[in-house]
Amino acid sequence: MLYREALNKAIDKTMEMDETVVVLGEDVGLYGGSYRVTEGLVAKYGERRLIDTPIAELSIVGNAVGMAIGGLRPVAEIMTANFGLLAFDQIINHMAKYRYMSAGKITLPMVVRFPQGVSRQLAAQHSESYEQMLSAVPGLTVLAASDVNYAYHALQFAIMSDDPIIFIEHELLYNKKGDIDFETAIDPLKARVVKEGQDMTIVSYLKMLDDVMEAVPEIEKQLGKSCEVIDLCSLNPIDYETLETSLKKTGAIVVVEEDHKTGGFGSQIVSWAAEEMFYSLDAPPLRLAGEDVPIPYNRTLELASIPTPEKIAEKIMAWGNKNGL
Amino acid sequence: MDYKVVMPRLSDSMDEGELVEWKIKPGDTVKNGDVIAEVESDKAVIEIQSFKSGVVKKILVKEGTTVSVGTTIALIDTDSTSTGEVPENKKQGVPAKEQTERHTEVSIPKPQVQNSPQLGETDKTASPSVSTADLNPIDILLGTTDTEPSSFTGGESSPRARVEAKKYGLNIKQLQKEKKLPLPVHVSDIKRYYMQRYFTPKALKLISLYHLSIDMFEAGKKHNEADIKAYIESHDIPLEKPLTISQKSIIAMLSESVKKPVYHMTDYLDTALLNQYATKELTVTVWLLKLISEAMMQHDNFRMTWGTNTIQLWPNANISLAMADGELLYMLVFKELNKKEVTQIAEELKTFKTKIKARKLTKEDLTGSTFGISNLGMTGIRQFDAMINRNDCGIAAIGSESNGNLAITLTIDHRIVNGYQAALFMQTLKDLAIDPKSFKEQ
Repeated sequence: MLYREALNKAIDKTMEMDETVVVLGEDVGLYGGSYRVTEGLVAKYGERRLIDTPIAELSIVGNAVGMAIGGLRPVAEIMTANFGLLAFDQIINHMAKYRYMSAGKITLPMVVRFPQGVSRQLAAQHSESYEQMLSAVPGLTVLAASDVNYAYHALQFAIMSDDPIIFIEHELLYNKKGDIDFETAIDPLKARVVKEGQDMTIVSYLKMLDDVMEAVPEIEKQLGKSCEVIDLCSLNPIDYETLETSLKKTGAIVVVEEDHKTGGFGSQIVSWAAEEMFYSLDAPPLRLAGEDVPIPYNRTLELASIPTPEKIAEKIMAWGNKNGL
Repeated sequence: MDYKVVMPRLSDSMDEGELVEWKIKPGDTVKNGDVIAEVESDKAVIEIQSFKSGVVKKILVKEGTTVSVGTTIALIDTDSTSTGEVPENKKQGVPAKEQTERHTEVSIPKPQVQNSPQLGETDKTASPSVSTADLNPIDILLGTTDTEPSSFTGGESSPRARVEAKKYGLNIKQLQKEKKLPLPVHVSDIKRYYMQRYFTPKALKLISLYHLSIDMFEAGKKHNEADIKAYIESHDIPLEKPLTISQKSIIAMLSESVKKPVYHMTDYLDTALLNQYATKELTVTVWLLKLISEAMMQHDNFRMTWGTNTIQLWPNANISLAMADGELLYMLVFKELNKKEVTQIAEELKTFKTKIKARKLTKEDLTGSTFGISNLGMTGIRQFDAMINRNDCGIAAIGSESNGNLAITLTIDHRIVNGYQAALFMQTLKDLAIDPKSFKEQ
């Protein structure tokens, strides 16, 4: 099954189960969503539950907030993360704060889906990642779906949760293939150990996780060490427990993210490692992230601006050699 | 300043080397590039050179001793030199002692080691504008000019190495000053030092053999082989040996064998004639091979095996004979026994025994049978049943003789031979055993 089909199935299942679930966004209805995530749902549930909105992100999230206050479970889709900036007032001042401001009288059972990241030549205004800003807002739960099984289970969890959730998807993952384990429930707030290893912990999420997994065989071969790879899954709250268990074992941590390095989300993980895990560290933490430049349109420059499997392997090997790993 | 000559890694697979011969003795003057010793690695005897000039101060490893790679084997004093060369650190203008201390304590290498002669006298902290491109800081710190790439990262120890050192009661700074730990030090360095310092090589070998951890033994105390043995005994720790390739294949074959639908049948052979004709050369086993091959020629089913969707009938009597060698078990295949004299069979048996000792058995020697024999008579066991070999249709388990009778138990694959056929075969065997014609040389 494809990642986008898993998301579709998750929405479909919750809509079938709970008639208060509604989907709203640009082209989510008749067109079936820019990334075909809501394909076929309008025929099944009608235009009252799959609402095509004007091109006005602030109103999409604002309407969703209102619907949630009124007792619905809205799932709002932002076409691409950069456009979501227009909705930040609703997200930060309203969606994240109502429960707090109303002393818990108002809950917002809503989800805002954020497709993001460097795709293929969509240029600087359509390629950014905003997990660093979104996870810095108290009151929001931020999930990042890196694989098909997680996408299916976590989106259902997000829709049925009584608190507001930002659900981040990566634009290059929509056609990723994978299997869904329908039988086994998962805890979407827990990090996932994708591969066990002994000598270093590599933490990543979204598309970079795939790039890391592609780089790992080369790293293990060249360094003669084994890598443990962790998919963070939940960016807020962060599952430090899983990270701690791994880091205590390996003594070395690498964080790989696609976003610009300065102020990027990975700095939170590294800062935690330095603050809380100092005496477990046998090597300085390593952060691999995108360059501090607007994402270029030119394909060569675009790839030069973000980590790739080759660069990940090369940099981790250099770091390992330098630090006695 | 002392330059430490270490046991070099002469090949990728080399972990330790034997000091074959010293070409130098204490007091000798050596120059950079001089051959100072011969070392035997896992591949060959190789000469090793000094990478510094100076006077040999101390030989630390005797000839004939084997030490692990990286162990210091000699010290060369690079300050005192009778060749009239200027010692290297004098060139740099910093007194050797001071230089070492400053580097180990201040951990961050400062560029005070350049070729400018007046610098050390006037300004020990040095100006950063002077180029250090041709000098590698870790080489100066460790007093070596290894061509290995530097791993210096600007610190003295990783946090985790500090925790580890504390656990073992090691003083990192002191040990680094003594050049016993590198800069910076990582967990692996601490472990390595601690193992070498507190465990004898034999003790470490046992620890690794029994998959123990050095943390199981009291820190700060020397542990020898006897201590480890005592621990193993008091904790009742088993020695786990990985399966050899032969053991694995025996297990696979037996697991296959157990799937066969078998039944057992026991009867007794009269041993009067067998005993009469058995000699040191023509043993009971040899005669049994002959008798059973004869019976096989009269009973076709005993020359049958499974093919792919077919049953194959073989023209000759080919018998596998179980032969143990230590933990190994071979099924030696004697071919075309129907055409062979007992003396020939005895000769073949001898050849097989030689081949086993020399480990020269070929696939040909172990395949092609249709029926097997396992003889435990010599051990005094009265009666037992055996497991069928690989593709055979059955096996005869021979026990020991009692009151003129030899117990013989057939294990038969019911898919090929039914009980009635097996009973007839047994009857033939019994008849052959009492027929003097069977024992006649043709």
